[in-house]
Parts: sequence; C-alpha cells; structure tokens
Amino acid sequence: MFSNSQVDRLGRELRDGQVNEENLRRLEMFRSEFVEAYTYVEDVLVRKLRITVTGRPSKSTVAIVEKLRRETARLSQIQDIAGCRVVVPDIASQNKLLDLLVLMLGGADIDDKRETPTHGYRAIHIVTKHNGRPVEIQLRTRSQHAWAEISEKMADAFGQSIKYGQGEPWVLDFLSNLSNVTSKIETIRYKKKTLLKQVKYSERLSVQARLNSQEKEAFAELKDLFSRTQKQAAE
Amino acid sequence: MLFLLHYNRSKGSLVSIREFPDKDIANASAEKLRLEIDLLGSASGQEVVLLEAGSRDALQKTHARYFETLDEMRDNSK
Repeated sequence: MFSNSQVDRLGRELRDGQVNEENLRRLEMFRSEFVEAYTYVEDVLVRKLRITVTGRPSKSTVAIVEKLRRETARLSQIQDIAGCRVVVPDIASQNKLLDLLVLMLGGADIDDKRETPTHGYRAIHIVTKHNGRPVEIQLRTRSQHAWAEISEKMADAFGQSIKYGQGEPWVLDFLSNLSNVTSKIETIRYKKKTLLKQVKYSERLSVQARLNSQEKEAFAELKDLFSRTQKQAAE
Repeated sequence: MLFLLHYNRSKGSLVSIREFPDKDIANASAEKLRLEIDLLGSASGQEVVLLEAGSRDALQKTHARYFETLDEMRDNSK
C-alpha cells in the first residue's frame, strides 16, 4: 500500500509529463487499491437495489493527468478514481433514488449540481467511502446524461477545456444554452408530475395549460438552438 | 461484463474493445496497463478505459460518446 506522500509524488510526476512505463505501473497499483471499495458499492447498487449501473473500476490515466493539471488537487485527494454511473428517466426518479442511496450507503457526501451546474453539467454526485477508499456515484437523469455525453464528445473535437468554460465561444454558448433549455424542459415535466397533484381541482386545468404552453415554448427554443448551431458549425 | 476500450479522442472513434468476465478484473486491468504501455510515445488523445456493464448495449447507453458520432448522439437524445 502506498503512503499519501508516495501517491502525491507520483501525481506530481504525472502532472509534469513523466508518463512512462514505471509510473504507469505505479499508478495501476495505486488504482487497484480502490477495487475492493468499488466492488462493494457496485454490489449494493446492482445486487441489493437492483439498479442498472455502469461501473468504472478505475479512472483512465489521461483523465487523471488532465485533472492533476487542471486543478490544484493532489492525486491522493482525487475522489473519483473509482466510480459508477446510474441514469434514471427523470427528476422524480432521481430524487427517489438519491434518498434510497443515502439510506443504504450512509455518511455519503452529496454534490447536487442541478441548481448550480458546473459549466452546464447537471447531475448528483454521491461520494461514499468503504474501508477508507472513496467511490463516486454519478446519478443523472436521461436529459442530464444526454447533455453530458454531447459535452464530452464536443470536448473531443474542440478541446477538453470547453468542459471547463474555455475555448470556442459558439461551442460554449451552445452547451450553456442546451443545458439551460433541457433543464427547463425537465423542470416543467417534473412540475406537471408533482404540482398537478397539489393544486385544487378547480385550478388544475389552468395550471396544466400554463405548463403545457411553457413546455411547447421550451421545445421551440431547443429546436431553434440546434438549427442556429448547425449554421454556426458550418461557417 | 468488463469492457476494455481504446478510444481515439482526436478522431472521435473507438479503436478497439475487448470483453472480460466480471470476475476477471485483475486480468482486464493487466491488459489495460499493457495497452497503455504499448501506446507510450504515440500521438496524444489516446484514451484507455476499463468499464463494467450488464451488456454492451447497456454500456453504449451510458457511454455513447465512445460509440457514436455527435450527429448520432444528437438524434438519439431527441
């Protein structure tokens, strides 16, 4: 087992460009220390809660090096060396599953990025520890997930910095607007699901009509965004 | 099922994918390391990652970026 100072020395060397065979072997050994915690969390999600999960037993080398260069964090402080991703249909399911996970995992740190997104990225990140090793669960709705995947793909084409608010302005605008409008649609749908049950019967029709109209406007906004962006991309 | 992916970020395309049984994480990790060492010195933008999913179909849903073009992703997200 590595000490924190050994891990951080490895992190500094990787950050400084020493990505060589020896350091790759050391990094793999370090990442293997998270497998037990990852397996435990995956077991809770898949076997106990019967959730469909995609796991990443260890963060890729390129992603670790980028994170070390981008942030001041040391390698020993990175919370998402091991992680899992869960995609649920909508906000209501996301809230329900969050409550369940908190109950099952206990003592988890929750980072809810839905109201305050990170450069457009919305999701809930839950970090739980097992035998001292953190495992990050990314809990996303379908819409949040679609945005995140498009953002990743655009980062491949236009540079990873666009995920952190830097780079080609039209790409940043597109991602920011896409995040806002898809969030708006999701929130309207969530309100339709929850609010309608709470209002008086006499008000229900008018509330429903208002939400339907807002949803229609948001979809028109989304269509317009794609069409404007296609033109900009072609220029 | 474990999936070892080699993805070329610059080209936006999947170079290779290998499957391993769930319990074979040690072997899959060793193959990942071997591939990373093989790729040392090659052009930047190479990503090697080990993922676990119930099936390849499930993996493609949660990690579409590795399998689809931007246009395909946009169409599928509508």
